[in-house]
Amino acid sequence: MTCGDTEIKELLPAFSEQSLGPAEMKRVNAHLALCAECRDEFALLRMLVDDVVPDPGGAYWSTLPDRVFKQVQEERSRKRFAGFAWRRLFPAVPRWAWASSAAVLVAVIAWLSFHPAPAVREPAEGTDQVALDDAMIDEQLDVAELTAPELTAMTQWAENAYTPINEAVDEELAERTEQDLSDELGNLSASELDRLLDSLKRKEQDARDKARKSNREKGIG
Amino acid sequence: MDEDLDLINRTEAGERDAFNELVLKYQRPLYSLLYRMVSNHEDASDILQKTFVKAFIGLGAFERRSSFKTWLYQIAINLAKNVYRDRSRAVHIPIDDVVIRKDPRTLDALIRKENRQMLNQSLSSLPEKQRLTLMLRVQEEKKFDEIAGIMGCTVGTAKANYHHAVQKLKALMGKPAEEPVQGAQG
Repeated sequence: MTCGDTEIKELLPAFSEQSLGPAEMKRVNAHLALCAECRDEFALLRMLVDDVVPDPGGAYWSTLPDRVFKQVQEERSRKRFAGFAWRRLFPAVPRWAWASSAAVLVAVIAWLSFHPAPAVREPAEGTDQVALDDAMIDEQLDVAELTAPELTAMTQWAENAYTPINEAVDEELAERTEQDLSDELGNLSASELDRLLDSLKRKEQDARDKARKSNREKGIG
Repeated sequence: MDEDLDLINRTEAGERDAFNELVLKYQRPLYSLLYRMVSNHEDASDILQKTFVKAFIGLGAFERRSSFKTWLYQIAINLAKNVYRDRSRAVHIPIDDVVIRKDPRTLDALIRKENRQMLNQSLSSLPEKQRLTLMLRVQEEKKFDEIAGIMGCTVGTAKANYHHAVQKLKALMGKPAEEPVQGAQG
């Protein structure tokens, strides 16, 4: 037969611990006298309650707070030292900065693996200049990423390549300015002459700007 | 509860006496629970110390919404679970060494010992939540709302776990020897 008195069943642990009030003790006692199932359950609970844990002794209990305190102090100083050492090496670097640095590093490695740096030939015998591989000249290069010897070599290459062209242009311009244009100029009206003069001034200014820019770039190189 | 909060605040402020008082207050009930979970002093003692250390190191993270006692029990149970699982897998109870003597007192003691061994074996075979609930309710004298807080479940679930644990234990133990009902009255 199954006992459906859940209230009594819930009281059984407290009954076995003898922690119920007198009225409830009496009520449970009366129920147990009639209900075999609850008596079995009560006997089981008594076995559990009577299963006493061995006492490790007074010395164990009295020294435990000190042992715990000591271990807490050790743990704290260990954690503090670990944090301190890390902070000392990298003071006040926030987490986002570490994350950003890692992302940039990954991006640089990825870029380098697809865009190898230009190969640099060993200096020719008897000279201390570094030369660039011709094949690499055609590739797009990021000047900021070149080393000092590579940059020097690149500047030298640019000067060698563009000097003949500049000289040819200069010669042509010189020839043109030596031509006699008095007939053509004589046919122009005053306003046309003014516009021509303005146009020449602008061209002269543009040429000066270009020359200045070119000199500046060479100066940086 | 209020007393605990006061002790915690004083501990955080660096009062050593308050720290000691908290340890002294909870060391015995926690040890008792842990011993029942792991069945030996060395592990119980080790886990007990770890429980306090973990609690005091993480005191800043303790949300004052629940009681300190519940929080401590949760830490202890979580730390003990792994050890308890290993122990329950390795439970070996020799019952062949039961020697029946003519002295009825010795016989009674041996029967009790055998019953106790059977009880421990049966307890070990219960599902973890049921076993813990039964231990907390019967052996640690916790109320169901406290058990619910410690186990992180509802009061109804705690009651159900307790009920299932008792039923399974009864089935595993057979019919335990009845003890006189008057015994409960002291």
